[in-house]
Amino acid sequence: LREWKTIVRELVRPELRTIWTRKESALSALPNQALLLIDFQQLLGDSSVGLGERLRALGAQELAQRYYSDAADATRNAERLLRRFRSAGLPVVHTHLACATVDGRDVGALQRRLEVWAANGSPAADFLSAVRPVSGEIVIPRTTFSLFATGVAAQLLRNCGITKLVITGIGTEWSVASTARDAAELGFEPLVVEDACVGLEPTHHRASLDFLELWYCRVRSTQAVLSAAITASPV
Amino acid sequence: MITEDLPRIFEPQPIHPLVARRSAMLTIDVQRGQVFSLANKVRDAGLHDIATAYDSAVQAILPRIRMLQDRCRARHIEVIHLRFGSFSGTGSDCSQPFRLSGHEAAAWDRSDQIIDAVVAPHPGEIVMNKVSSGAFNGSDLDAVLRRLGVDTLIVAGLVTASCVESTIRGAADCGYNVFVVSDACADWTDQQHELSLAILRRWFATVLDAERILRLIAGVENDRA
Repeated sequence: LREWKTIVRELVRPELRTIWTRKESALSALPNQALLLIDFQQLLGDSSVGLGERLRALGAQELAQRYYSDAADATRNAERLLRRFRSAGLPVVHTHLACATVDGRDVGALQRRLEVWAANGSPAADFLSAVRPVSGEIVIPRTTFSLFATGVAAQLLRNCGITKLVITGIGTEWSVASTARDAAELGFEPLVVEDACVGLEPTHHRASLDFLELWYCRVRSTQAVLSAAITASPV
Repeated sequence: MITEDLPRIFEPQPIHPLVARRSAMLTIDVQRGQVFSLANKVRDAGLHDIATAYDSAVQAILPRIRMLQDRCRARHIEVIHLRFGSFSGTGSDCSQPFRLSGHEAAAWDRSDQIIDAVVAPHPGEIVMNKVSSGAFNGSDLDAVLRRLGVDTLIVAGLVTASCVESTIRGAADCGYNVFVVSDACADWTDQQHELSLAILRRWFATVLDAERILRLIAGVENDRA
């Protein structure tokens, strides 16, 4: 028996143990609050691309005008939050609808039929310039409405030590609501910033926020989030 | 209240004939906790009108769900029952929204978990437990459906804007074709019910009433027999 124990111990050489010593302290210092920006991209936020083209073709001028004006407001508010999170040194996570193929064959049937998809690298997938990611920020391309339907997302956030998500994005009733619902159910603490989100239809935007607040998470204004001390602790 | 003031710019899914072996009917949370306990909680809070309206909405959908289930059974469409509850029996393992809202999340053998007699599972039918509102987060539903070869879902149950909507949002992202039976779901108020269906209709699913769904089921090619 003694001989067997000696052999086992020698399987791992002591000098390797000292090289790969776990540095637990490296994890404890991570900030746990992140800003999430969903689909601030040309497909949904630039009236000359994607959704805007379709609305024009359908003659929905009035809707398009209101939507893009609200989208501009939401983008401005997201930009204010982005500046604050960056200056506080807090993590920022961007996600956009960006598939891996040019013809969209890796996109689900629903999103393809709705024409809510964009090829990675195309103008439609490109971020709006005001909230464009900078080096070091996480960018998660996806093809689903919910960020968490993309398998890697939850693990990636947990790896980063992120538990609290301040959520902004386009659009409220599709990707933002799906993402916030999933975040809450998967054990994150989401907070949705109501005036840093925009929906295609005002009633759907409002109803989605009301359902979120009733059952899933907090809903706050940009000003309320900015007024709170944005540190590693919750708003 | 809900006006179709926009052109139908999106049409989530074309209505196509159901194929029996690729379809399943999901009933969500039609259990005593959702039907009685929650209504009593609302009544105890003094909101008698809401509790009464919810009670009657639930009573109205029960026979419709039963009829849909029976027709699905006759056409060899899988009938799957989802219910909400806790594996630990204390709710400690349930998703945060339920824990934070003080939702009673009892063990599976508690009376809150008993599925209403009108829509109770038949022997051999799949009953799945979930610890979240959306079945695609808090259960193995996706894996089970893929093993069954199912790609189309008929969804009914409680409560429209929470568990039903979350489950459908998850189903849509997982690539399923989803039919929601508008008059086989209920919510605390008609307004919440209608708003939720309006959002689902525009982005996630085909919303039809029971009569139209029954016609689709009647047209199923019975390729499982």
